[in-house]
Amino acid sequence: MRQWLTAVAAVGFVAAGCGASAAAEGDTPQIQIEYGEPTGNDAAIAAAHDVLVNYKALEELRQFLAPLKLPTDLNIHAAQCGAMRHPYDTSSKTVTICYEQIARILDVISQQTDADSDKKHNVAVGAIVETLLHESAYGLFDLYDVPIWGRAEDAADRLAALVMTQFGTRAALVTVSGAAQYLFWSAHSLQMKDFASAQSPEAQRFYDFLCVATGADPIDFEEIAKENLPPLRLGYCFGNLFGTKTEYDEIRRAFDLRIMPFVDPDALVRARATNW
Amino acid sequence: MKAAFFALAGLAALCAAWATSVDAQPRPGAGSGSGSGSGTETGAGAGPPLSNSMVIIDDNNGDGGYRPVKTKELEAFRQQMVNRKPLEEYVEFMAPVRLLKPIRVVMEECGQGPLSSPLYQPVIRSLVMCYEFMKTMEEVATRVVQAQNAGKQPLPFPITHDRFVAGLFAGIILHESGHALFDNFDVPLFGRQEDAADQMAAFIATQFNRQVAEMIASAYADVWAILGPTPTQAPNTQDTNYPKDVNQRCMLDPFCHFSDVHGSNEQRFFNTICLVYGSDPVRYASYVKNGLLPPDRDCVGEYRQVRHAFQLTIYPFIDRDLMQQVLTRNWFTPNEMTK
Repeated sequence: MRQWLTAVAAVGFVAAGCGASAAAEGDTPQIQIEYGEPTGNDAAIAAAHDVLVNYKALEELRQFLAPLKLPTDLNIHAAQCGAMRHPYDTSSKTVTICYEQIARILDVISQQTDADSDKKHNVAVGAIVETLLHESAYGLFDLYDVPIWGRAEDAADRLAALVMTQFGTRAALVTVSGAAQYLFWSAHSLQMKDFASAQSPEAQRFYDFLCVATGADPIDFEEIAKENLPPLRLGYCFGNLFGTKTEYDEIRRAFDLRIMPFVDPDALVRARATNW
Repeated sequence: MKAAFFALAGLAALCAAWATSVDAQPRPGAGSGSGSGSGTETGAGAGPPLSNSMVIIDDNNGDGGYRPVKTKELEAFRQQMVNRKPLEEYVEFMAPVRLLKPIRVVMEECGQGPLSSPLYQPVIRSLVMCYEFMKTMEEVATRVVQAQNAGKQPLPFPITHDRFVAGLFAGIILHESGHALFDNFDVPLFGRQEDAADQMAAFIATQFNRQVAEMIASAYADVWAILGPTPTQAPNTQDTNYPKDVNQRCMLDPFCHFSDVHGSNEQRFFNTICLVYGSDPVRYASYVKNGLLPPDRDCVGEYRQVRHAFQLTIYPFIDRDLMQQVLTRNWFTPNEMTK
């Protein structure tokens, strides 16, 4: 895994523009970030911490979220959680990115002996970006008092997928495909407790991601969609003759109704123009 | 945990052939013509007349919204529906809802097998209840009751025939109404719409008195156990029964199965009872105590989430006085309420 991490460092994290000057520009004072120090001697946790710190993941995320007009500070912490996930804390307005989850991403990827380093890099980027956006979504849902119909975990996924598709084809292809590939690789045989969970199975999330992305960019995602989405689902992703909305239309509409009013349009243009 | 409910040997075999025929695709416009949704005393209990002129029973050539059937075996069930008048009751039930655009409601032979899926068609704003599905559930209910009488408990919640069928019909039409309301009110849908519609059904059910709430919710939960387990192993593609249809093959594959816009039957079961539990964790403490729900699932939080979503996106369109009338009215026959 260490060799692969070195390869990732050589290729470069897709969130380009790292550096003190880039991080300073467009900073949103209301997003407070923190990297907790790992405790114990777990090498995987330490590696996860290093990946986030070295590539300034939280700084990039903060800059990325800069167009949002927040009603109050939002804290985004990376920490060792003692579990794969740590729920959003509504009282302290804190999003937690768990090193355990990042470590799991790196572990799943490192086991894929058939994938080349470029592919592994893109999957790592997609999966980590998805994790950051997914967990941050809970903060936005809370701060903007967003009504959530459907399962909250799916809502966070769909918002993350929507956001991933708004910054150009290249970014979308890397992040969405990467996230989807990670979900495919990490899928496991389900037991009844998995069905009872509030979290959706990896397979379900896989299709949800691809469907939203296909609706956002049916031209550039056409090949991926047709390779991976069964006919029964395609109509919900590409749209159909009966004019029903696609899943992308749905989440885009939801975003426009409940979150876009809090977005600084000029800052959004600058964010979209950034070479992430 | 409760895997036995989803691996019922007899019921699974009975339903296996049907399980892949559930079709969630929208259909071309079904039904035309106009009808009226006038308030009538068609419900099981008397009360002040309720009405909603924006809910139109899609009458075609005097069929009253209960379309004639092509399959002879469905005729008796159709007649049962004509006598029971669920569409008329639905118009009354929707009295409190100030729809922005009219919707149509109809019962018909949907023509996609015994589990033809009821649906809402947003393009024509039409809610379609399929005879086949309800007739199938009637027959399944008969078998389940026989099994119960023989000392078995095939379902998570024991049933009586009429109670199950009526509760299921109510749950399904509430689900489809969820789609209709989301469409009518341009409701922001961050989560998956099918899950949202299930939440609508469970949430509205829990707003009634406990007897009605449990009747609807238990039927709506039990149906997912009836419809059978999600495949967890790859199918035998050499089997002579391996379907040719690519969508049916997908439903048999443990990964591709999750491409469906609906949650799996197990998920829908747990989502439903989670909301019921969340509506009253004291009353339904046994769900966790008996292992029906995992203790770490925040069902109270999920209920609050749905309630909040309802309050923000639907409740502003509800006439409070009429809502109270609907909540306190007796909608079901004594047989349908009997446990």
